Amino acid sequence: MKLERKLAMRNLLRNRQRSLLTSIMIVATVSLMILFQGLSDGGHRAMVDIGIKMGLGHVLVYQQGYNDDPSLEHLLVDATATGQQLQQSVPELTHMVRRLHLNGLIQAGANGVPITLSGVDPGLEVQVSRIADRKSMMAGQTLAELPRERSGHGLPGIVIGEQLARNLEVGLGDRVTVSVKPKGSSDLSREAFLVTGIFKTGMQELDAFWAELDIADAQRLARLGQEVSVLALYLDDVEKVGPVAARLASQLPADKYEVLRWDQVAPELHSAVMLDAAGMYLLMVIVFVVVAAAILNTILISVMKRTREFGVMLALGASPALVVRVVFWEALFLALFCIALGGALGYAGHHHFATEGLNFREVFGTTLEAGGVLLPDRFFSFIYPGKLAFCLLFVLLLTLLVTIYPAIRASRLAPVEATRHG
Amino acid sequence: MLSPVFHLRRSRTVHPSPFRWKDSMATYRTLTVPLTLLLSLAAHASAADSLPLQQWIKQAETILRGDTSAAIMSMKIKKEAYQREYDLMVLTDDRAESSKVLIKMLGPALWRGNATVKVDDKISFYDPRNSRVTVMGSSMLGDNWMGSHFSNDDLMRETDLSRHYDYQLLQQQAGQEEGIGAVRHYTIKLSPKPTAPVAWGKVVYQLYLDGQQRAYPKQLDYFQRAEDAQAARTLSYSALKAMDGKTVPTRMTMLLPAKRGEFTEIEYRKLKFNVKVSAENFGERALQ
Amino acid sequence: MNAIARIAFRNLGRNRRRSLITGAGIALGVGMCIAVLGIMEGLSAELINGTTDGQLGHIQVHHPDYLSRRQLLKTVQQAPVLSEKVAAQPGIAAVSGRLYGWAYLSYRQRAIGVQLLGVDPVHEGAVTRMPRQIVAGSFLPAAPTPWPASKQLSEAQAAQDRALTEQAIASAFDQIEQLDAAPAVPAPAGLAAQTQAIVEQIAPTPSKPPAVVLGNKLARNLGVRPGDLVTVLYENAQGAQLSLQVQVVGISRTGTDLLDRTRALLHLADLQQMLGLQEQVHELAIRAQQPQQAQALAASLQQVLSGGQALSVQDWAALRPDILALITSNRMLMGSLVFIVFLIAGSGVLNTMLMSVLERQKELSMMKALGLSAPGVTWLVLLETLLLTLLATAAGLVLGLGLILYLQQVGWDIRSFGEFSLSGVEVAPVLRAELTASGVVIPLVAMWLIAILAALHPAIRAARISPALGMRSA
Repeated sequence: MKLERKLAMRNLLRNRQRSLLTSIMIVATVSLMILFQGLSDGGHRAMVDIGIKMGLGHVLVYQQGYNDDPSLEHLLVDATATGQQLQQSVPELTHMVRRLHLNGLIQAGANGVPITLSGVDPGLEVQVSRIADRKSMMAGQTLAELPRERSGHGLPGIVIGEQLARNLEVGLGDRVTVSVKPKGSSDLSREAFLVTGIFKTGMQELDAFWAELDIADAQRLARLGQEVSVLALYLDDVEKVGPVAARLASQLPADKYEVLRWDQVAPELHSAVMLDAAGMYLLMVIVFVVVAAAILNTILISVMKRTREFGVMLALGASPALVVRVVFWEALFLALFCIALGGALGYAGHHHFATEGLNFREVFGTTLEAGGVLLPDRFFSFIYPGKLAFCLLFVLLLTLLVTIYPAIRASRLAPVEATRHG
Repeated sequence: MLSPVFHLRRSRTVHPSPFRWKDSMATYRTLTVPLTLLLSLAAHASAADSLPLQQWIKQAETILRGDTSAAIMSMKIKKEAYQREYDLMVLTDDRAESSKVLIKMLGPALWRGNATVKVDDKISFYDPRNSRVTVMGSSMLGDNWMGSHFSNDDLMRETDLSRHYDYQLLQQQAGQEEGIGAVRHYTIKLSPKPTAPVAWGKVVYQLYLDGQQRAYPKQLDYFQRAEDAQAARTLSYSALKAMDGKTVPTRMTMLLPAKRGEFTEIEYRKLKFNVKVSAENFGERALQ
Repeated sequence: MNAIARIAFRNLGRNRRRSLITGAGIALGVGMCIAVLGIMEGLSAELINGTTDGQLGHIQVHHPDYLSRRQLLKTVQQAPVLSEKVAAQPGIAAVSGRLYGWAYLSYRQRAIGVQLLGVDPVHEGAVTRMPRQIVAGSFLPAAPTPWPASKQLSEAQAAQDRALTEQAIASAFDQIEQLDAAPAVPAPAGLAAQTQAIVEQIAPTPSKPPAVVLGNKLARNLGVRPGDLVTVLYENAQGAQLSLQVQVVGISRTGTDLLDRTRALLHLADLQQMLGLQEQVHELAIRAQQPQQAQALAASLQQVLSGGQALSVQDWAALRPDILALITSNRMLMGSLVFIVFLIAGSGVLNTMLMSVLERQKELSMMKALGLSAPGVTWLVLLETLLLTLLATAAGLVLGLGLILYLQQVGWDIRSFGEFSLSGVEVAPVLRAELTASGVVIPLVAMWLIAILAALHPAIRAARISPALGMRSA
């Protein structure tokens, strides 16, 4: 037993160049695969993230019936209490934002456009929404950047889309009025706002027909109390969405609340990501096949090259089983070494992209500009530990698996013939 | 604000006022009152400051409506795409805190019997062809009323020119008005009060006073921004005539400078003040 | 030269097994790359189809200002002529006109604001899947509702109308006079009936209620089923508020919440009649024969359509940048994966050639001793690699094409990943590969380049072997 290992180790070290070549192969594969997996999953997460940040959330809690008929009749009445309850019962929660969506008319001078108004908690929203994000601001400030106490002008602020600003012919600091139909009333409620920010997301529907304002302003405008349309929950990990949503659905009374996951609210986005993931899965299979072929290639060649060596071993009385074991040990040592090194390299690369991010625009130039607004500047590499472990284990198994044939071949050599060869 | 017809006084003010606003207002007042007193003592108050500008505007704005009124008028619309004339009957009731308006279309055939009612800030439309009443939603607010240059919002408009603005006298001069004689013309700049729910940045109101100090509207220029030089729209009053014992301007013209050649003109054919109307005149039954 | 080629070929043949293994690796790499690119194209195509087939179409034509403000009057004029002109262009598969409007739908006590969409049932089916999204009842009938033509009033009728107006005014006068003395005077008899007769001539009602298809959530919120009559209150292009009875013939489901909740489909001709926008549309949705050509086609259409009315032609990517962004990021991810495959294949080549050079040190030094120049040795090794790569890529090509053809015919079932719907339309649960010229050429050329690059190091190494050293090491 010990002998085999010693022999295997010595064999590897003796022919350093060959071992090195083989290891380069496996190390490259392992590290690149880790890197790639990280980037690919990171990319998916980024996509989901974009969607979730366009006014969605990981898990959304509505009043029962809101989704079929999003009117003021179906608002969450006890949003504050429910929110507090959720804050306590969902440890995975990183952010929870309240939003109140209203249909209304925004006017400036003689121009009027019917839009969707989103009342938000500015300080929280800016952390979770891409619409409210500083980077989306073409001009002015986000709601969160406005001073809490209204300045001399006294008007509450409103942030509108870039196309909407153009349609209304307004700029920063201009006065607009917003009219909505309050709940249970047929008259209209109107207030003046000051355009304090103009955003651009690249989505026509948002840029031309969307405005955000402080939720307190929205509630006052709609003559509501603390009612909100939705509680949007952001979790520390998108993977926890399913379990958390299921848990909440069973926790909250079903006749009162409706708990939806982001993929239920935005099935399009979910499908796109899943389709992409499915494609990736297929490609991974292909890569594994190529990797297996490459490893087989390397080991087979290395065994064939040592025909004479194995022949001598056999001639000296080594059993074929010993030869098989030696070849296996060799492969195992090699694989372990390579996986460790490849894993370390890959992880280092992943770590780089996980912290620095991969700037797609830098790497791939300006081809992205058309839809570029939507893409984040960077994708951050992300690794699922389970997937990583599976991957490493798979390479190990693969290496051992493809060693079977060369090992058996080596053991079957006729000692005399083998020594004569080469 | 628009015209006595469409001028619907704000019935229920949306009073947002979180406490801090009120507080800051209060401080403002306590500070400024002594200050203004001081100023008026130091330099004698300018004449303009003492003029009841707000009151004049209120008077001018309500000249074509009394407590209640009934009127027959024609509306002529000229647009690039079409040209059309309506005959309308309008009832107004301003006695209560919330005003009521009924506009019934008398002709031509396509619109005859159509009615628009505004009661308690609620606007409904009645279509005689299938006897349905539809209550207007916020998305229709921006639409034009029956294709004219007045929007549904003008019907609804809670902007009261005599209450949501600060007033500043720009100019005054002596002049003549046909049918009245010697008058004094005033040009007043209206700037929206800080939190007033109005979409205009500035309104320049021209009016004149007759010998009895009665105010008549002359021309209103609406500007989107306070610093704009070009008005977004202009409403002018003309054709002074005696109606129901009062001299009133009987023609109103709305012009959009951006759309040359387009206008909507309203001409009063009959006007009666203080008629006896009740809630029934604005109820669903009155529509049919 | 010739001799070197012959030697190279012989060398490959001599160590047949090693050549075979390396060749197989390269072939596999190339084949898989071709398959990967094919799948990538298929995936992109699936994403594009999911987007375009639901509602968008490949290309859309609008009035330049329509999309940003959606005003009723920003239409495309002379739609029938224009549609024919567009349809006659090469590369265009189908063209369908659409008209949008806003209205209140009311049924019994409920009223809901909706978007009216007028489509041509025949052509729409060739552009999108809209007609196939019906869950109850049927889609719009192919023929528009018979609608009597609107006739101008005769001189006498116009006079009668004026007389009626005067009559109404007089009656209103009376009413005003007698307001103080209740009760109000009733309207003169016959006024309504005569008005109705005139209106019927100017704005005739159709002989039967026009057909309408409602979104499933809209139908549920209104409480209507196919066969029910609902009232539409709308404003026509002249700003007049009108209302009309329509009959629900079908319920559609797109899966997109907003559409299912607020969309009512009408026959294009019916909506044109209602809005008074005859021969006008807001949108021409176009299906290209080749979805990949959409952008080029849009550009050429913009050229073809210039000169007349101002129009803006946009392909789906310009209309839905979000989907484009998805596809782009997708492509980039796949591109990096292909890169990895090549890297692995390249290191395989490097490995093989290096070993083969090391193994043949004796042989190579012998050749050098016999007078083969250093560049000659380099050339020999490179030629060996090139020959090997050529043969292997040929095999890889066959493999890749075979895989693609298989995936094109059979497809890859992705149902295990969950349900798929895009833009509300369910995507076929089978992913199909798509063959493109670049998807074949790129792997081949890249493999050749990489193989040569990988062989460069062993080749140069081989050239450096000193004749004497080679002899000694034996």
